[in-house]
Formats: sequence, C-alpha cells, structure tokens
Amino acid sequence: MMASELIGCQVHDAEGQDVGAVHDLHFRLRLRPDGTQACQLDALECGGIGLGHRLGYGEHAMRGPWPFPRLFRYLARRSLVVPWTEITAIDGRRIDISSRRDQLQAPQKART
Amino acid sequence: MTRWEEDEFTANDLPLDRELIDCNGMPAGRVDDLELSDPEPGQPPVLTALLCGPTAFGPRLGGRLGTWWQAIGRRLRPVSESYPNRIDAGLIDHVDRLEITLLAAREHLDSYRFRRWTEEKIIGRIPGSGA
Amino acid sequence: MVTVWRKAACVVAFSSCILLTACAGPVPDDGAYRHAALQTSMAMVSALASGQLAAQTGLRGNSFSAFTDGNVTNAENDYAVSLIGACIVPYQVIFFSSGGREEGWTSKSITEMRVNALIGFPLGGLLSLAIMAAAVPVLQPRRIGVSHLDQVALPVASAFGQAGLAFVFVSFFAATFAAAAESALSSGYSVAQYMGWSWGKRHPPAAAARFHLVCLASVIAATAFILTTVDPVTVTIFAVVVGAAAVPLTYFPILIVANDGRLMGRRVNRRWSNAAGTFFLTIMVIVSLVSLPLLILTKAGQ
Repeated sequence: MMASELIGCQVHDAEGQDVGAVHDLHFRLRLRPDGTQACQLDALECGGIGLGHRLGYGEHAMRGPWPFPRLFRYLARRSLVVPWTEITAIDGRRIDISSRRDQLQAPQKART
Repeated sequence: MTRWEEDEFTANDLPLDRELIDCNGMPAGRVDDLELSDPEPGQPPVLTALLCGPTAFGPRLGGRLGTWWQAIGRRLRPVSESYPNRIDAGLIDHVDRLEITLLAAREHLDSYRFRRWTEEKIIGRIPGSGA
Repeated sequence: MVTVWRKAACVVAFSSCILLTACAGPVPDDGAYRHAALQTSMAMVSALASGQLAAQTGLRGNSFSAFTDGNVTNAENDYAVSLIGACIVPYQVIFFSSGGREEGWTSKSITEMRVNALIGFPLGGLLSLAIMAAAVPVLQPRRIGVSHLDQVALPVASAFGQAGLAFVFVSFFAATFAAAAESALSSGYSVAQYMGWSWGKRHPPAAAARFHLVCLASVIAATAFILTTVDPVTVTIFAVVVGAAAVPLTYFPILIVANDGRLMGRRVNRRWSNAAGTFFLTIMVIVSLVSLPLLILTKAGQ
C-alpha cells in the first residue's frame, strides 16, 4: 500500500456523513518486541484545507508573516484526526470509519 | 537503527519531498511517496520503504498531469515494470527536515538508472565532461 | 516642469526603501536566500524610481505635464513594469541562492553580500537612467525610436567615435553573455533541485549529468528560438513583463521559509522584516496583476 493511495481518500463516518478528504498521515515510532524499530501509521488527518499544512502552518512553529498563521489556522480548524483503529473499510478512494464525526478530535500539535 | 528527528510526525511534515543524500554525501533524489505494509487485522501499517522517481510522483500529482508524468517515467525504464524505485526503510540512516541520509551509495539504488543513462549516453560523449 | 516636491518625494521614497532593506535584520544561516531577497527588493526600488524619473525625462514624448497632472498613460505604466521586470526576474533568486550554496556562504559573508546588494542594484538603476538620459538628446531630435540594440550604441558612438563604439560592443557582449549564463544555469538549478538530482557548477559534468544537460538544452533551445528571426525587442519586452508577473511566486516561498523557526533557528524573521517583506510582496503582487493586462493594452510596448 502506498501513502498516495491513502491521501485524497474521502472518509465517511458511521452514519455515512462526509468527514473530509485525507490530507496527511500520522506516524509514530514504536519498538517491536525483537528490538527493531517500526514506524507505524497511527492516524489519518482529514478535512480542513491542506494548503496551510503543506506550507508548514499546521505546526505552531511558524510565526508569520502577520495574516498567514491566523488565516491558515482558521482554514484548518475543521481538520480532524481519525485513528487507524477506527477504520472499518477501505474501498478504492473511500474510507469508512466506526465512530461518528462529532466524536473525532482535532489534532493536538502544540510544538514550539 | 534509523534516527528520526521526532518520535511523532506526519507524512507531509517529515518524510515526503525530502531530499535523499547517500552515504557519500551525493544527492540521490527526493522522496515522492511512502510504501506501507499491507495492514493486518488489528495492526496498523508500517513504513517499509521510500519511493522516488516519476512513477512515484505521478500518482501524487494526481489527475491527468500525474498520469502523463507516470507514463513518461514508465517509458524511461529498460523494463516495463511499473513499480517505483524503492529504497528500503532499513537503508535510512537519519531523517530530519533538511534531508534524509542513507546508508548506501547512490550507484546501488534503483533511482540511479536514469542518471546513469544520461551520463553514459549524452554527457559522457562530450569531451571535457570528466567522465 | 516637474515640481520640486515631486522630485523630492521620489528621492525620499527611494532612500527610505534603501534604508528599510539595509536594516533587514540578522541574516539566516542560509544567507543566500536573504541576500537574494535583498537584491530583488533593491532592484525593484531602483526600477520604480528609474521608471518614474525616466517617464519624466520626456522619453515617451511630452511626459512632463503628464506626470505633474498625474495623468500617466498606459505606455508609461508598461514602461515602468518592464523596467521592474528587467531588474527583478525569478531566475535571480534561484541563481544567487544556488551560487551561495556552491560557494559556501556563511553568516560571516553577510556584510559583503549587503554591500553587493546596496551598491550593485542602485548602481544598475543609475546606469539604466544614464543610458536613457544619454539617448534622449541624440535620438529624440532625429525622432529615432529604439527598436534595435545598435541604436543604443548611437549616443556613445557620436560622443566618442570608433573607440567608444568598440567599448560598447565589448560591454554588449559582457552583458548578454552574463545574462545568458545566468538564465541557463538557473534553468539547470531549478529543475535539478526540484527533482532532487545532483547539481552545481563545481561538479564536473559527469558528476552532475542531468543538471548540465538541462543547462545545455536551454541554451540550445533559446538559440534555436532566436534563429527563427523573431523580433528580439518584442521578445524581450514580453519576457520581462511575464517575468514581472511571475515574481510573487518566487518571492512568496522565500518569505514563508524565512518565517520557519525550525529551519532558521534563532535567525527567523523579526516583525519588521516581515513588515518590509509583506509590503514589498504586496507591491509585487500589484505589479504582477497589472503586467499582463498592460502588455495586452499597449500591444507589447508599441
């Protein structure tokens, strides 16, 4: 499976409501029992407008110029995180999840 | 073991579009896509390889332009196999926001094919090229 | 006659822009980017000033009263835009930043680079003004419109004779050769860096094969294009105006990168460098938006 096959997929929640398109993948480093390292796909990030994220404004390290951080954070406010464990089916460009849209959380990226 | 700049990151933030530098400090391409393992039930997929080259970049561009880009990449290959150039995750030395360093020399990577062709067929025939 | 306060306003605006860009704060470790941005701002300011002052010297007919009435015509605006486009071209940023990487500029090189930008670009603007001013007393009485490069040599030839003409030919060659080398290299730099290939003049061609191939191919393509006997002046005007339209696309990423704390470390942009940067970016966006309509309205400067 490739990352480009996941990015752009439309996510639908348990009630069939549209959550948004996947624009990013969350990875986390884990140690396997045999000592090797695995870079695991933890969650999908969807909704919102991807442009701000691509320019780096999703993280909070970007300070300016003045209107951009606010503008992009405002545009990205509808960004939601879907943990991998919630996914029930991946069919072509459509992903179905087991929770409802209002149960999903926004990404927590409070990095300085 | 690969050293990553952060323990948690997103695809667009860290690995995608990063420049690949081989063990000799020479550029070896850019990360165009990521290869993930097929998910087993209950287990999330794991990053298994970095993909680079026009056959990897085409699907990311998407749309008609992406299809053309991918087709050009396929034509430039000696074999008709369309799987993109693959750099195994075990070959990655260090990942940060500036670049990704690899443990292998770029001559041993699949992505070197196009470069070797240009060097042999075109540039190498011009006197003074240093080949 | 141009009123004194208009002249003074030009000078004040010009000098304050120089001061603003001169004070553009600590240089990032990737000093090349900041240097390139500095140069482009300087060039733009020089060109703006040159454009307005040149419009006043009556090169386009009776512009004295036109300027004081505030009634600057489309042709003059197109002239100003093409002057800006000739000074600030997208390839400049790519060329200088890549050159900086190749030569290994560090934060210690900043003084030298600032001097380059602060002296080089106003000097260039001054020289452009000089060329325009020298052309007026020679060409205007004879009603010669400049449509060919050799007509630019007429003032020097009439003042200094054959020796002057020889000097002018050498300088034409130097200027055009430099421009061709810069643009060919910039094509190579931008393509090779985007694709992740190895790049650089410091490598022998075999070590950076695809980069050199792109440079070579762009020179060949450009030569083939000129050999189609298309009018060079029209091509130049078209190219600089389109270049001026494309400048924000180059300048905007620099501004974004200069604000990225993770790449710039402690040398990330301060508020006032952001203010200056946003101000110039806005001007460039305006120039870029009017450039193409102006080009169409004035039929490429005719």
